[in-house]
Amino acid sequence: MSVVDFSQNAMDQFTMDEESGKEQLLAGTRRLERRQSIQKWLIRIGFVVLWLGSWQYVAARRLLNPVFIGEPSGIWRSFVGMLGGSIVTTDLRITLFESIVGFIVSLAVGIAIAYSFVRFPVLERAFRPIVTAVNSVPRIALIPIFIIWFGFGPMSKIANIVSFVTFTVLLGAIGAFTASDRDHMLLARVLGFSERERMWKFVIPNAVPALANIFELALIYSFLGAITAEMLGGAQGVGVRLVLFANQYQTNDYFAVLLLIVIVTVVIVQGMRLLLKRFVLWREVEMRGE
Amino acid sequence: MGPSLGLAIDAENVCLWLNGSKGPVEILKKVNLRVRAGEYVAIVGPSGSGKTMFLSAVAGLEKITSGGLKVFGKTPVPEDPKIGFAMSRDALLPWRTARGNVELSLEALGVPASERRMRAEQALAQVDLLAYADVYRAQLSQGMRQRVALARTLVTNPSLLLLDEPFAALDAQTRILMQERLMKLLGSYEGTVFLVTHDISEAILLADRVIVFSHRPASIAKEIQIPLPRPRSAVHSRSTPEFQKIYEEIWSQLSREFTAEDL
Repeated sequence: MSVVDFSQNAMDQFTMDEESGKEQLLAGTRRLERRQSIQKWLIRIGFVVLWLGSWQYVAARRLLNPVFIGEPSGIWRSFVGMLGGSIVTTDLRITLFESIVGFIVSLAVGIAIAYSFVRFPVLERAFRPIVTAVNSVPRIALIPIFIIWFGFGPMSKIANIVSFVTFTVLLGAIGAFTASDRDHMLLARVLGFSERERMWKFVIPNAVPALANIFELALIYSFLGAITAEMLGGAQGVGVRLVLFANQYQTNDYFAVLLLIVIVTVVIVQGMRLLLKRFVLWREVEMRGE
Repeated sequence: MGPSLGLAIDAENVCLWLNGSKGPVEILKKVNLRVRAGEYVAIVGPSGSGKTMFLSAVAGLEKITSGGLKVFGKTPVPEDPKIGFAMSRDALLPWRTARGNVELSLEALGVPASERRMRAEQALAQVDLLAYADVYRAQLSQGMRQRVALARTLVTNPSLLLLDEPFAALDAQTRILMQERLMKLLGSYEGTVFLVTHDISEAILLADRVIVFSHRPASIAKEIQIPLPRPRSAVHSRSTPEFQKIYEEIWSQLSREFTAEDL
């Protein structure tokens, strides 16, 4: 091929046709995404390895007393040993029962009150300071009272959960219910919808994505409420086990129970996200545009 | 005052006051206007003159303070299926598809689900968006959203179509295309059109009669008949000398209604 060659072949190498241009653009984007994904995982794994590795090192070399700080390898052994044991079959089951019942009751009560506040604003104006006052009571201080009233069993734990998760749901749901677009509210009037229809066709669908976030928070708080109450006085439950292990300096077992709680909570939260995905999909479409 | 038979809108000495932060504010001062059934009337006026407020009163959304206001011989209420109100912003519900948004108007009238679906699809076909029936708001362009909103208004076959600055949210080119489209749509429409706009060209293009509102408190400053032949074109009618003459006539009146604070 000579230097000056205007054949089709040479032109193809000089200018780029549309198809291969688009392909290169796509390939470039894919390469960038892959590189970012690899970086993300390297950082993530690197952090965990560094964290557990230095913990293990400090404990194994007795730089800090492993009786106090535990030891990752020991925690793992303890965790594996727990699976299938009474901690999972009895204590975890009871804690889960308390958390889920408390969660459902709080959700029902919180949303019902929020709905009536939004539907009848005079109720909200009347009750708002009372809600704030009651919500200011340090709930942890009520646990001994709940134990006096409901005993050492699950009921006092459920009462503790309901006493504060209800407010998380209530305040969040009021926010979600009052976040409607003004144009949508005008449209509801223009089309002549009744107050009730306005709630169901305009306010509630708009609130669902925000409510889904509140549900997640409420679920995590419910576990927290159950475990706190168990730690302060209970017969069974993971909180009771935690106190026991702490009192006996069984640090590895203590951390193993915490690991168990984290895993179970994450699984349940993910499950709930999956269940709610259908209702919040429009929000994702909206955020993404296109 | 005779019977208002054959009148779509009959406003007599309409006054409207609103509660402002510094006490009551007079918005409308003795507005007298009669719109015959089948007539196309546009209101233009300075911003904040109360033209949208008058439209809201006609839609039954605002209560007048004194005077008489009848729509088809009755005091207007928003749930009246004879009145269709198109807002300036599309107000599409993002959790509903285009079809679901159009069906909303029919839900308000208690139309059964199967009929709703059919009529919503017809209305979307009217605005050339049937292919987008299952698409959400985020996936539609601004012009398409406005067309879905228009389908939502037209699907109930209102006898009186109220348009509140229907294309104010659109860019200049899209607006001209939408005006063209609306005029084509109205070619097969037999009802009355009552339009509020700040766009003089839009008023001339669409209306048989243009009403100029005065500065607030608003009353009618001038009425101008538009003798331009139909069908009109959003693009070509603008360049005719008749159009220019009417435009200048309206503008000379309108410019007098602006006060120093407006600029």
